[in-house]
Amino acid sequence: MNILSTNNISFTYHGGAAALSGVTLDIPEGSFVTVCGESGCGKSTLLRLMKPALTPRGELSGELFYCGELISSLSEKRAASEIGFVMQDPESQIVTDKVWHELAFALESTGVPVGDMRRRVAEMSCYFGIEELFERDTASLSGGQKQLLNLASAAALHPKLLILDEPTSQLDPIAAQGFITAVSRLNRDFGVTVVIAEHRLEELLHVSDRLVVMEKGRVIADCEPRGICGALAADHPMMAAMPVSVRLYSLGGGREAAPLTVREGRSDPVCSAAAATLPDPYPESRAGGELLLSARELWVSYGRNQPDVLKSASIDVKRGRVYAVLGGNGSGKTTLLKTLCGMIKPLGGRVKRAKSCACAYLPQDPCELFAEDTVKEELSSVCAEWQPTAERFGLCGLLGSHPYDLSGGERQRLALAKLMLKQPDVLLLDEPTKGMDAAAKAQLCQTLRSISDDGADGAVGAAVVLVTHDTELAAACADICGLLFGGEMVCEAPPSEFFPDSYFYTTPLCRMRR
Amino acid sequence: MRSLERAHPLVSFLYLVAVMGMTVFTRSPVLAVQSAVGASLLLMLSGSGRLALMIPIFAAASALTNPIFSHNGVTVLFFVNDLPVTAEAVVYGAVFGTVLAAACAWGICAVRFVTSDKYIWLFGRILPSAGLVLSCALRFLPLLTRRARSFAAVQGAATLKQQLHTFSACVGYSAELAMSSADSMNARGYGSAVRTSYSVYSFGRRECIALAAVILLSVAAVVMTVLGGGEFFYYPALSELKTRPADIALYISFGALTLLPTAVILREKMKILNIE
Repeated sequence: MNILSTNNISFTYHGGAAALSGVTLDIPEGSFVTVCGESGCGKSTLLRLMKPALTPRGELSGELFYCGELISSLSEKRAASEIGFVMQDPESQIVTDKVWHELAFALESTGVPVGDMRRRVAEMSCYFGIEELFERDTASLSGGQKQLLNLASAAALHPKLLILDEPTSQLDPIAAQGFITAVSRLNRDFGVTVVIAEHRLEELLHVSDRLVVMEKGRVIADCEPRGICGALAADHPMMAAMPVSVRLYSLGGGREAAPLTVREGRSDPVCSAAAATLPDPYPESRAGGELLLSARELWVSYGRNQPDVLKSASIDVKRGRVYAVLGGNGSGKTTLLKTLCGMIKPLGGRVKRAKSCACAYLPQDPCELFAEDTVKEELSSVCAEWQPTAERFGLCGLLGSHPYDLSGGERQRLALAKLMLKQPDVLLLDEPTKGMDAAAKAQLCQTLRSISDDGADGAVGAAVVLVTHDTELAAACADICGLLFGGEMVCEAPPSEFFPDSYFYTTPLCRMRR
Repeated sequence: MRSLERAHPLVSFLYLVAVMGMTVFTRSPVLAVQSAVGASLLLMLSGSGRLALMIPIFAAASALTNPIFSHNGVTVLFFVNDLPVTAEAVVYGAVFGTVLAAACAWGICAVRFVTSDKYIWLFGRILPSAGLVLSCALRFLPLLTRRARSFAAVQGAATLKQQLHTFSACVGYSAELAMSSADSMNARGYGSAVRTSYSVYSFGRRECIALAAVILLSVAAVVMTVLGGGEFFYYPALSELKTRPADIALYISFGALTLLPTAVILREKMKILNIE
């Protein structure tokens, strides 16, 4: 029995290009379907069409059936309770101030009686292990906890179908893994059908039954995850988004049964042969020039009774180098960046700056940098000579758009361009790959290398410090990597030494080779 | 303390309305002092005893300043620049200051013990959507403040004009994000049925007793006041403190009312001591 089926649907936004063309999908009850594709491929549109309350406005042709009924004919209440939806941003999905109220929100809205509601809320908080958070303010939760709460709140309605639109793109890898585990438990324990769109597939593929790859509004592959190498060519751009074992298997010429995890990859002959022959991804490690920032033994705390966030952290930032800071949540990475650029004053130690050294800080959410109504105004508000920079960052086609209408990758490029117009000596980036697809990541990586290189016109390269959870990005663009733990820089080494020597903070490729 | 934090919203709310109402509308110095003592004890027991110091400071400040503005009264203490400073004005100032400070102290206790979710419970009974609006506002306002701070820090606005520009950008961005909050509400069936209201509070025997005590004591105090208990005049001359049965009954019922939370905390502390 198909819980959801689409029959040749096409969709066009008002006054826009076609977002979907001729999509036909059958989703059997109880399956776990992963949808992937580059930004703007139409996967969000497809997912929103499956949820009546969120159907976008535009021209729709073709039919969508839910349990054999036309989806538009479902009653509002049934659609709300049987189809759960979790979106990308953990923060803005939460509407109330207390965790318990958020859990009960959907139940209150659909008019579940109080006795029944108490049981369901209790069950859900036990099932997701959030009893301890029950009386907390939602504002005090971490991103991962917020997203788990959003999932629990949707699950409290006992949905038959759960749709998730890039739910882990704003989370760190460990929180993301926890979230995916929770979703796959729902699928396994209760037979909830799951449709999930995501850029990061490393943790997702081995729990999925089906992988749907989309490109320009069409489904270009619809198969079991293991069969993906047969459906996509090894040099297809979407291959870059696949887990490393799949990429290696495909490079090695494998077609039928791709290994989905590092464990399977290591025991697969095709995959491990390809891993051994693949050249290292690390770029040449530059020695760097002038010392721009030198921080010695920084101690930072956010208040009298607060714990120290940085404890004796030291870092040297040199011109012409990319420094990648890795580390877990709460290790003080963001605090280190803010201290380096002077937004936070350290309690102990100091940041020595070279003469007339200008720092630019790119926050985790690039939108915090925007203040104008169009991309063009955004750039021209900084300086009059903005055209060459706009060209360099590929923004020429977007000049008339509103900054908030851009995709994650485009926003990041605009923010970078805006900062680069001020010609900073040090560029500080906080989690720049959050919510980006593989193509945008590769592009960012190139940009960061070119910013730190000396220009052909005699311009000297800037120093780049980036804080990231993305080990693959660090491996591909950093000259030196540092591991921050417990507020202290525990080790520092060029990627060619850092990653092969690390056990956990390393790229999946290194794990394949160990 | 825990039992006050966990007290039923209806009990806490009625209690505060009664105590604060009596405190603000009374003219009796005895009631003012009783209220001040009750509030100070509660502040001290809940670990912010320093705030209780504001009551005598307020009273003294008001006692010293009132004679500057008011020259009524018959008992002239001395003259300043030919203007009389009267004992009545000093006393009235002191009582007025005490009342004001006591009301503030109860307000602090209210913020501490009647948390947002209790208001939401109260209003959610009467109008489920009003409760929800309140809850959303309580979530949104701190969020907006935090976001505004982070916008200001990142954009480094220097002049007032720039700061306003940054703030308006922040409000615009919040509105943009609110679209996805609205989506999230719709996705979870907002408005698809008649709303029910979840409650973390239950109304048992303990709550019945507490509610009965609050109602009994406050009704007694109001009735005694209506019967003329606690009558007091400051001008032209201070009236005597009367001790008719109505006055005594008023002092006892209001005194008991103000000491109720202190008694609850002390009883709890005793029990904890016994356990340990």
